[in-house]
Amino acid sequence: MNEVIQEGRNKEEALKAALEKLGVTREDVDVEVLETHREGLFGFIGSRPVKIRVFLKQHDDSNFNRIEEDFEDEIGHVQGNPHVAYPDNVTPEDVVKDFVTKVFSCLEVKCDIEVIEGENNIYVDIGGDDSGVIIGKFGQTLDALQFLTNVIMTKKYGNKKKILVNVGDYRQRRETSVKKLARSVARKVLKSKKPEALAPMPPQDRRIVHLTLSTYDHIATTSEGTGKNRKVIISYKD
Amino acid sequence: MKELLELLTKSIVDKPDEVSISEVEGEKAIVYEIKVAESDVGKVIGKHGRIINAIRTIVRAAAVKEGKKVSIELLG
Repeated sequence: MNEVIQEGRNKEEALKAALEKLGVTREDVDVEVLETHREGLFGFIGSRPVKIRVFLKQHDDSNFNRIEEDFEDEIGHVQGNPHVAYPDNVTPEDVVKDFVTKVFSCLEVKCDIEVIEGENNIYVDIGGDDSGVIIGKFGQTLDALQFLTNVIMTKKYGNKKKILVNVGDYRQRRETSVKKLARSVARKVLKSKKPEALAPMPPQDRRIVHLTLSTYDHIATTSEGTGKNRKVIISYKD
Repeated sequence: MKELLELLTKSIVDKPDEVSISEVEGEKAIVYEIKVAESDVGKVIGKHGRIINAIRTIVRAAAVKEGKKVSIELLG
């Protein structure tokens, strides 16, 4: 059993009951609220319990392969061919920061740029009042900047870490709304058993869809189309 | 905007010294023509034109502020 749908008077109660049924702890699961609690008239007429879906955090290999494929897709199968060495005492983060800073000074936008090195990624966080201009329609400008930064670092310096560029909390907000979309379409597919195609979206968003739905039983996700038109198909499987 | 285009192009190519950009400005639109070393043409275009398109997207963000249309051409 990978998931349970549980009702309860409030979220905590429902979650507790669901965890007992699954025999796991809070850390092992993700929770999705299906229906929120509603107070009825005088506390009982027309009141509605909370309904949640609790499912194990797990990923099967097929999903990982697809995610890998989408990742490669993003940097355009760039082969690392380092032929520029870093000058002394200069780290990849410095090069990234220098490049992004220059881009913003050309745009005449004042912002704070912070570059943090992670284990597998380099995070570029951009803050400031006007930094929104770099997001663009559906984040396409931000994605273009991230793509170029990755290409430059991979091609010139043979950088192997993925560079993730974020403005304020844009990516997090985007992630939340993509997850929401994925789940609601998945529910529709579970009911109708007919495949649904999502609108074309950038690799990162597709990745979120694959990951979000990887824990669903009876749901399969595939990517179709090329380039800008690549989209995720959510389908029913027995 | 020209500086931005120059920065992006020079960061991608192997021979930044051979990058030259000319600018034709109209009332509503600006046309930029980029010239790079022959060996760098492919690098600026990228697979399926991805790199040049990313460059276009970023430069357009700058153009929005100035209320102009921008087109970018690469001369081989």
